Amino acid sequence: MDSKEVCEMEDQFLLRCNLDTRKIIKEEIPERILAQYVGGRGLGVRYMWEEVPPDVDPLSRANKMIYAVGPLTGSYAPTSGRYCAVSKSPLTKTIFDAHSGGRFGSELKNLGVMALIVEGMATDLSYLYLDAEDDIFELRDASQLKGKTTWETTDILVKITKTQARVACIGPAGENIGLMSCIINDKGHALGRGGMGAVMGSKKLKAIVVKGQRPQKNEELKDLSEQLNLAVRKNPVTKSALPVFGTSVLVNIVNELGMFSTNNFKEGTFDDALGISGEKLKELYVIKNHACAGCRIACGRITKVTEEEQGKGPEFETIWAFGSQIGNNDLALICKVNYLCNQLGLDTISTGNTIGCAMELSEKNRLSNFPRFGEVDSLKKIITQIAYKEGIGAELSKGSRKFAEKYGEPDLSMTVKSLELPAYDPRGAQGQGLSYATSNRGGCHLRAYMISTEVLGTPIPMDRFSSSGKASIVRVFQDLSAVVDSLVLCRFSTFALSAVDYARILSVVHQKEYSQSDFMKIGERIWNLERIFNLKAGFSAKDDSLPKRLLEEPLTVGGSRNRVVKLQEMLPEYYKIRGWDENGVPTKEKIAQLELG
Amino acid sequence: MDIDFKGFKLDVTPAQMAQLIDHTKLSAWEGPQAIKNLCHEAIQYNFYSVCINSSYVPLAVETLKNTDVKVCSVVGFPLGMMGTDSKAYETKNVVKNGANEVDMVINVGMLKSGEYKYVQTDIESVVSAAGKALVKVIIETCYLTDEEKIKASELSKDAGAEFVKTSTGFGVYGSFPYDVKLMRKTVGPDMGVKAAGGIRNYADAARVIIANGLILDPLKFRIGASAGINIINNLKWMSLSEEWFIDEIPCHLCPVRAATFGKMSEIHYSYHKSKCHTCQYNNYNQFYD
Repeated sequence: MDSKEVCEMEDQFLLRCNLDTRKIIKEEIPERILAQYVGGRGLGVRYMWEEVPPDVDPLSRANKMIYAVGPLTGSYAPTSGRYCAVSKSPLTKTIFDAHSGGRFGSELKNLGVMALIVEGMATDLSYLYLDAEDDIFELRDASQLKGKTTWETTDILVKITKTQARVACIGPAGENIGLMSCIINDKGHALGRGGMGAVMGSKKLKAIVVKGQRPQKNEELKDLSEQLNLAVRKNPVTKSALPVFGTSVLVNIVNELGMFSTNNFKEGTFDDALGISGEKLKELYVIKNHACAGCRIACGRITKVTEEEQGKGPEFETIWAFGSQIGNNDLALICKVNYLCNQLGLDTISTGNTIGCAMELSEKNRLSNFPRFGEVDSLKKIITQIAYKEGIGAELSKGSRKFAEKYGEPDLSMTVKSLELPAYDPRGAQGQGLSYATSNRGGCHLRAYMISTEVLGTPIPMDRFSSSGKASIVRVFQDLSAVVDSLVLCRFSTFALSAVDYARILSVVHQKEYSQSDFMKIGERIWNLERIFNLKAGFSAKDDSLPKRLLEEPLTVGGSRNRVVKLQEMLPEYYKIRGWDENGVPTKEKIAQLELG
Repeated sequence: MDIDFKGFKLDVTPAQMAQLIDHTKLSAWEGPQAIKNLCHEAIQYNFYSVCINSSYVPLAVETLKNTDVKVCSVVGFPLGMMGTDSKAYETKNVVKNGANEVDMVINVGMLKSGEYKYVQTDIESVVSAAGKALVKVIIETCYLTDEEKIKASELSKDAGAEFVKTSTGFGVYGSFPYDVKLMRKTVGPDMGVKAAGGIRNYADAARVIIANGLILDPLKFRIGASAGINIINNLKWMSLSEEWFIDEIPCHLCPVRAATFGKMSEIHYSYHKSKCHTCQYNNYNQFYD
């Protein structure tokens, strides 16, 4: 089968939209690239590498934004209703991929494309209208949407286009090029991290509206998907824990282990955790579960605080960011600011983390007229100021790192490579510490979700306090995550499926046999290409680190007391296992082995 | 104590491992649906057998009809303290209902009292009642001294049983590599040894396989486990990295360390501890954070 046949069979094309010329063209994706990078994150990283210089200014015309789906998106396969965006992040300056669920991804796939590359910069605020049903692909004026929230934008665009259309858009935070801004689709799902909203904002692209055609279902995939769905229904995490309590089931578990970062990571135990737990959320505010397209897990939550204040979420990380991270035990307020962030288009993790940093600066008297931990009366106002860059919000909108540096306390920024860390305190899980430090996109728990093995005990329980063997497992999880992200399946599928299962999926999709090692090599290739991009962008081994607090200040109470991250016990071994030199640079042999030369 | 505490890495495929496993469900609260599920899992993973309580034999036989998965029923379970006739009757009954294998429990009290003739007759009656069905003899190592483990293994062999098995899984502790090694040495290469109880993951399974001399023949070695699926899934992940498990300290693999005061006779507890005091690895025996 030659590349042309594959492309025509599977509709594996991409759309390229040039905002300068307003032209939208359809291109074939070479079979070689699909075989080596699959789709989603891998495909996006590959095109970024080919087309964007690593040292590009992320907010300049030369940066590109690649929205991508996977070969299974829109199929019956478990957790396949997702999409991602790949670009160079204005927050971290690294290569960056952000992922989101909902229904937008499936509709994007229904255009008959695997990716949408947006390049250049529009002269005025615009939105992309991509309608395969009526064969309309054009850039339209969005001046009437200026300053609108993501919810308002979505409602207006659906009203003036098609009721079945799906919208991904930015809010005021993205329009104002705030570095913590995100892209919201389906009024509550976020391409959350890394300031992806600012990239859209810099290109004056307010929204993308997609309406695809009803897809033809692949029967072979349907059979395989049924088997995989069975595995998802059998796994205790995907069968019970996530459907019943959502991701916030983790609040009590992580807090009991002393890893629920509290007051800007000063401690790992929050006394009021029960009051902001998944169990309490279910009791007080959840009105129903919510699932992304084609998903059987339904971990999402629709909550309602008042008639006027209801929406999707909050999930675990948001509860943490606006809960223990800032000393807040008011669950209703957490729900409300979650809705607010979704409307304004702000990443909840980065926003909450940065406010926590500011609160500590305030406690240390380095910042005046700012609330301290637990003082949350003005929380909504601060968040709104961040989105509109008003008052203190203008400084906060640049993220925790720049904010802490400005006030002379860079060590109070709980970030890795300028990306704000999420909820898990790595002093209670050594592997997670190494995962944070070596992440290609900065402080992210999902590059290698070591919590799975160190806390949840799946697929194999490991001693969370031991550094032994963690380098090897972090590498396995990083490579696996990279290729699962390229299939564009939800990370929750990894609780139920192994690399062997994923290789089987890819074999069916590409109609070519992939072994487990073939499959993992794809992940390794993507990981190394991201690493090379970052090295060429100016990063080095010194950036593979953690905030000083996590390395030197032991927790004083709780289930992880007296612990720090023993990063130096793991990092050299990690480089060695990766086939990198002592400076964290992939060797020539490794580059050749992965066909990256 | 002679404890092999280093190494658990094996060259074994998931298919080979599955054929060593008796997929087990013996808890009192398990209903028919749980047994059906157990059978379906055994088919899916191609385990050697399902190991169940005797009342569920007809259900398991029906569910596993036209498959290669065997049905193994426990008899005289879990204490082994009923009369010989009762064990023989239960054996006849399960075999009549289609069981391919029988895992019987010896009368531990009689063994410890030196009533060896009784114990051998007890086993012989089950072997006789089993006919062509394979018999495994559970000696419940947690309640025995090394000398008694050796004696119980010899009696099982003399009585014509095909296997000697470490534990019920309901005693103070389950199987340890140390006991497997001792039992294999006692019964020689031709009789089967089954390790059961406390085998929860790949590393546990690998250690008893190594202790048994790396025999991968299901007619010579078997693992009884309710965690069979976990063991197989562990193996899939082991192929990606061998660092999931680490070498244990010897005390974590020693039956002496697992002895629990109050759950066994004082004499037996003292027997365990006396071994601990003279052990070459005694310096490892401390409580860790």
